[in-house]
Amino acid sequence: MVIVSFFICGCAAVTAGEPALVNTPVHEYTNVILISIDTLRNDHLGCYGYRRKTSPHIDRLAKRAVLFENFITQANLTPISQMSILTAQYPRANGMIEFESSEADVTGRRLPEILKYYDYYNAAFLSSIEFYKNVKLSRTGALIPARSVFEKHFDVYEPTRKNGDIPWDALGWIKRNKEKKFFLWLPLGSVHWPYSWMVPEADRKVFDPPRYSPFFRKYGAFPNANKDYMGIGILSRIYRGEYYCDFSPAHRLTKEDVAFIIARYDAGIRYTDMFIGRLLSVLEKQDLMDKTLIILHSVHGEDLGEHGYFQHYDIYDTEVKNALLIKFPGNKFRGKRIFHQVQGIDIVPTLLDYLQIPLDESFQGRSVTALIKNTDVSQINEFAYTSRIPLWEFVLSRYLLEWYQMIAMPQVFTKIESKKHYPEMLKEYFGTFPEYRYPPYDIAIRTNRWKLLWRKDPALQEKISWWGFISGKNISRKEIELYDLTQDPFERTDVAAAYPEVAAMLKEKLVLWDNKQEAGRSPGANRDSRERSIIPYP
Amino acid sequence: MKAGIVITCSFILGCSTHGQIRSKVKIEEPPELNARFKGANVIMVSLDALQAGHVHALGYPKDVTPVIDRLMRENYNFTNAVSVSSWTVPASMSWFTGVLPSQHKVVNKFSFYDPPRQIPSRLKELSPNLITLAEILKEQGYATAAFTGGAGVSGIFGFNRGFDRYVDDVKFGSMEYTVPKALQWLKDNKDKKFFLFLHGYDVHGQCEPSEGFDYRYVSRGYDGTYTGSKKEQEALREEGLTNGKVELRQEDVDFWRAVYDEKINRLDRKLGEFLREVDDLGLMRNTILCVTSDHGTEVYEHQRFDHGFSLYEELIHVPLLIKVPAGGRGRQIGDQVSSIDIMPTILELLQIELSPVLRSQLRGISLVEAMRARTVSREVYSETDYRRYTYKRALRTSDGWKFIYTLESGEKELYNLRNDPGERNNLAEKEARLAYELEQRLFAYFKSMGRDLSGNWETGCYPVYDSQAPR
Repeated sequence: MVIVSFFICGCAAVTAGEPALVNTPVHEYTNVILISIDTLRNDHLGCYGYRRKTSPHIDRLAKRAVLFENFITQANLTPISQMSILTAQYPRANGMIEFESSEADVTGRRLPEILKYYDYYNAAFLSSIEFYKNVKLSRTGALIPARSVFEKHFDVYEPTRKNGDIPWDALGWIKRNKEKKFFLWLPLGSVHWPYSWMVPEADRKVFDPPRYSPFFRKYGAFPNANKDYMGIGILSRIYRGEYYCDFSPAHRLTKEDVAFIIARYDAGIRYTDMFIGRLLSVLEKQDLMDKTLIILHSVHGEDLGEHGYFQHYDIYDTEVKNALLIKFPGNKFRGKRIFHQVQGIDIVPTLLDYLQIPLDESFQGRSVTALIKNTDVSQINEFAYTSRIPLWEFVLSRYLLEWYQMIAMPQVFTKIESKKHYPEMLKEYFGTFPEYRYPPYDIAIRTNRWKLLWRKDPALQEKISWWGFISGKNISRKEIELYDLTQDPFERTDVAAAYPEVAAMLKEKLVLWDNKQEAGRSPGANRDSRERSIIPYP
Repeated sequence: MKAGIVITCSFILGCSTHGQIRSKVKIEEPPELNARFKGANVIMVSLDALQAGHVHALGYPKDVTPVIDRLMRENYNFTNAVSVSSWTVPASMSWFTGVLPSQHKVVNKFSFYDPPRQIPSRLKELSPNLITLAEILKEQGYATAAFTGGAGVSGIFGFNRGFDRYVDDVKFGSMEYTVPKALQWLKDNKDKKFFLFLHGYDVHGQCEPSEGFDYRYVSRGYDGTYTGSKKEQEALREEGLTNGKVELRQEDVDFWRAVYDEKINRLDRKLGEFLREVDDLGLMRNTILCVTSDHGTEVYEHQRFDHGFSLYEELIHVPLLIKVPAGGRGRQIGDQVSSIDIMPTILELLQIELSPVLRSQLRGISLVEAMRARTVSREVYSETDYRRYTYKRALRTSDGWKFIYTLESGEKELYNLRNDPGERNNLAEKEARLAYELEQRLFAYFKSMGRDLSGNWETGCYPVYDSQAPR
């Protein structure tokens, strides 16, 4: 213990390229940058094999980094997936289980807190609104307390001046603080819908199909429909190739329509990538490259029509299999590609392991250093687990739908009187908005080959399905879905019937995991107020 | 009689010149402890609830413990001994099993508690594979007996395992009750090799001297209303639990310290009488004596009374002395040791070979090396699950730091015992890195025993049957 303090002042003396002092822990002289890109599909990056030139700078970073081919995040939604990464715990253990989770609910210890113990200067420059925009819900009065949940333990916490834009201010900050030992977190929301809305006009259109006019312009005055980017208002009404208006299909999407949506999605990536380029050149010019560890990851992916929607709605690989690059100082292990799957919760243990900081015993993730070094991999988790946060049913109903009802519903849903409002429908099934928060109805277990999804209550889901609501169709849900990822990476063919023994084995593992998560549920804000019956003395 | 030579034992009345000569010899040539006591008798004495801080030889200003002081001066005195727990049941069970409470699992009086259903904790059911000290000694042909004040050391919890005779028929009995019975048993069994466990609640809050207090240490002008009764003590204890602390005038605090001192002084005398009788029976020269306490007592150090609910020094720093028949000349040993070390120490002194099963069971270390002046200092761990009121785990480093983690609240406490022995200044935030690292060591240690401290705390009772496991 005492020994550690001998080294505290050693870091400033170490300059780039100079070999580290023997016995000086790595954390004494290593900066950390964590780039968390929202809604980024790894197969839309050059380094993961995409043909379109979306990511020359990320590709440049990847050449010096270790690339993880199968990186699985713990949820399909931003704050939940990100908190799992920051705490190295599954959502139910760290307490961040839904958008409304408050600071007091989140009990897991986060990376910035640990780094603070080791004298890091913590800064965040954010463009993902999920981490700073507190949203008050009009009807329920509930607050989505994004900022207070995430800003803890940061010395600097600066959202972009324009919502969703690139945090350009980070670059100047690096120049001004290059003498400090820092941890810099850069959550980037510029890939998230509305696709490429903040991208300057010329860059926004680079991948557009020629002479194309967006299909949705024809259909009513939707908020922002006069503009040509796509937000949730449009995306949430596309299902299985149809664009729905007023509960009936209004337009069948053409190949060009889909190409346009993807073009705008890709333009957001390209724009974000430009920032990565700027960031890398700042680090190079400031001579920080060799003393900085850079982690670039996506927070979740996006289904681009593979399962009928353009969203991060479910927990298919399109949504939870993500990009992860780790660039070590001195480009150690450069060019290495890891095929064994790793999880969001493994990032922080791996980082601390490298920095020679003791791992928190409460971590549920594990260091994957052994995978990187090709040593003993028996400690690597064979199974990855992910949970679907019922965004539509539990978040949008209370947030976006309220808003749309007020602002847009009268124009868009003229037939709404003949149907029940969606939130009312939910109330019917859940009572007044559920006290039992975050029902983990859909969870999945994944190996390098298989993925099994378990929907605990498919009948309920059929009843409350947003897609069913919007399309007026019966949506059918199965309790178990099994996919052979080697044959069917986009999970289109359920093989549960063909491989009953695989399904049974994975289901059993998944149930065990689920029970464990349930038992280990973070007590959150109620931690100390639980009823205790004191045993009488003696 | 086993030993051939009759030595006039000077152990109680040993003259001071001897002591001086010994200390000189120690400096010039450290005496090697002869640890060959195969077949020696063992007497283990538990002075229930005696705080190390109230023993004169361990630094208490008042001279309330002349007998214990002399024993400590002339034998192996562990001045930095830490109990694994702060109340009787879990702490005492660790002596006899050599494992922490989390491992023997007798951490509560009930393994299932949901009135009207209450299942008492029994070692046999909670930890069927553990071997007890008495069982080992019995197997080695020892006559085994225990004379206890009952309550927390009642045989039902599993304390009686391996004992031919286990007396626990009074509740919070003192040595006034147990010593005569123990002496009678010794007289009846003195020709056998024996293991005797002697215990008394004399200084415990729920015990009063039969003849009443004479208030020998109470200052003359005490004007308060307290009498020192167990009823008053109980009320103070419960008030402290309910309100988190008790508000008392300094005069009243002094009064309670004086009452505690009187109980200690009376116990000290009783212990002296007992040992003199043992000596008179001629048994001392072939007996290993171990005197300790299971835990201390809080007398308002942290504004509460009694024990079990915290892991502060007044509760876990305990006296521990070992006297060997011959060949060992005694030593003051400042190394930090744990109460789980007692069992392996006794077994090594008796030259009892550890079976592989036993070897893998014992979590402590033998202190024989320390008795030979080799350092054995190490990190030690304590824990308490108290009446479903609180659940605490603590680590005490060998360089004077203490980290306490409260499971139900996640509260962290870090104290620098070297300059803050009273544990008043919580440095968990100021020394966040150290607190973090100690927390990880604490968690890792309990994880190695199969107890994961992260996430939800358990309801406090260990399930005896799977169906009782918390969901």
